[in-house]
Amino acid sequence: MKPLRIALTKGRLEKDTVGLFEKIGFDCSQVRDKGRKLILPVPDAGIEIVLAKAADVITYIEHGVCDVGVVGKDTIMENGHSFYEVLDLGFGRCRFALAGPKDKPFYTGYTAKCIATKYPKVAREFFERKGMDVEIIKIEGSVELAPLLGLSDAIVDIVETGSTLRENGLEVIEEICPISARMIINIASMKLRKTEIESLMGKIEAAKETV
Amino acid sequence: MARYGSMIPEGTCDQLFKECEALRDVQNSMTELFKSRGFNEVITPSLEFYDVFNGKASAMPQEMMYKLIDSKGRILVVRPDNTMPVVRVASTKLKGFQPPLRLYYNQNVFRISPSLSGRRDEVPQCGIELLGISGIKADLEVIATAIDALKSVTDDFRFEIGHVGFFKTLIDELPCSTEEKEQIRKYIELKNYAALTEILTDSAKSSAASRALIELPRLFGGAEVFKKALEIAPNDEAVETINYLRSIYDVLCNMGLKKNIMIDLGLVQQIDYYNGVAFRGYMQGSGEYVLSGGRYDGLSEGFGVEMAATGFAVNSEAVARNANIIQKSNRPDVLVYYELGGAKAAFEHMETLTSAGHVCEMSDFSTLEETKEYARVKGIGCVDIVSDDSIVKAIIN
Repeated sequence: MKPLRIALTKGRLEKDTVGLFEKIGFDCSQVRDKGRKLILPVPDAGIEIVLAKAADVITYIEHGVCDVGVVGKDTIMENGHSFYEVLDLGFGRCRFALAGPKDKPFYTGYTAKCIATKYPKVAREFFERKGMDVEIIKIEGSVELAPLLGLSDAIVDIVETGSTLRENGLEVIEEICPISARMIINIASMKLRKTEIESLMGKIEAAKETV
Repeated sequence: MARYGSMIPEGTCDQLFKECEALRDVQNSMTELFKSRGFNEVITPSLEFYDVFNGKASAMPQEMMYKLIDSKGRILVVRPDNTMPVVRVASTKLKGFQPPLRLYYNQNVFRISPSLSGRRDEVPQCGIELLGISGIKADLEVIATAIDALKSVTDDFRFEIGHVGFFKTLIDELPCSTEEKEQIRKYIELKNYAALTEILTDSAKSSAASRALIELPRLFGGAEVFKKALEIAPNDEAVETINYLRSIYDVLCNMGLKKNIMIDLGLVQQIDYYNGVAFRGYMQGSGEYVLSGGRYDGLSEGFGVEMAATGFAVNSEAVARNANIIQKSNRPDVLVYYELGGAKAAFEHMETLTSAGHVCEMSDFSTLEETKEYARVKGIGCVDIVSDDSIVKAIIN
């Protein structure tokens, strides 16, 4: 039987997931000590782990080349949705928020507002729900810079503690939604390998309880 | 050449040789099956009016359709789906025909996929529509034909069956807005257990129906699903739906299909489209379903008639890619060479060889040397040198 292939988002979510797997009793030594390998076996657990950038985790799951993935809700909201989103893993918590210069009212005036963001789809849908026309500019790096340089009126971004915002004279105008790490599953894998996946989900849920 | 002159658009592909053969094999074995069961082919235009796909039940996101404008300024689309055109034909041109109508199609659909997603925009589909009859026997015929269509090309497949009626009777009991209901449906479709539980444990909505809805995405698997579903079914209608599915499941198990089929009551995609059983087929190697279908009695309403309808479509290309089809080699066994005067004899000789089952190529080179060199490069075993009164065989490889 070929192992279940699990794609993890590199970085913090990877560390938290590996921690969770070790609590279940999986031997993740090869993941911790990975060198340059990209596909990492987990002996005796019937799984192997692939490390990828967040958006790529979704791509691999949608195409079915990986069966299970761990990815942030932020990436899911920005990159679409043809897979099962079965578990909220509880870690990687933060939120999407609309933020702008402190003490400068945002929802006033009639000129169209300009929003800088790394998440154009999330931003567009947020303002669509409000029925507001805004201009959205995609920024790749530190989004906080855009309103400081006068490029945009506000930003839509992930906010964890809010300290970066504060240090740059910005503040949260409105929260959009909370975010955390999710376990996602390819639709065909869920049907073709139901028992293995349900058993893995059961173990993860049990380990999550004991955090 | 202009910039894009030697390229093809994203989402399309050229298929060559064995790929074509595998696709045609799949299409042939499926259409042969459909024909043997009394289904008749329809070919509909590649261009249709936009309005055909803009009805209440049939609505397809306009972002997914390739559009053109005709000479009178009307919006056309390049056929994005096969079912609507076939239902259109059935509700207009075949209106007076004795039902049930058994129709099949084998033609491509065109859909705009998100950029750089690696998805095909042109998808070959074949499938059937059984029109003008409802009831369990019609559902069974279509489901059994769908399973047999997959069986004709692979042993390694999984077939899941659901019924949108179960979800509909549950959601109708909830006192919430259309938007909230859509949200709940979405969470069930995505098996988002956490969000579903959260939205439904809100005390105002707590009822037998809401508790049943929370369980819905987990209700997939074998016969055990029916037991659980009957325990949580809050009303007679829900019980009836489960018993209906159970009867279908039992018949299929009786036919020896138990290991291939499963029940999924969380199959709630496109609930405005389907109104009864809905099913999907999966194959090892494909990350998406390769077959989908169900009952959609409401589709003909847009054409002003009432016509029960059920059917399915197979993505024949995905099947061809993943089915292990053994292909016979199409490499020629014989190359026929002749001097111009011997043309008649050469063509007769080719006729003799091909009717004996050989694959035979005519050499169009002007010299025998070129012909032999070509045979060597292509790995053709034998060159037959034909003239009016003789046939000389030259063994090459």
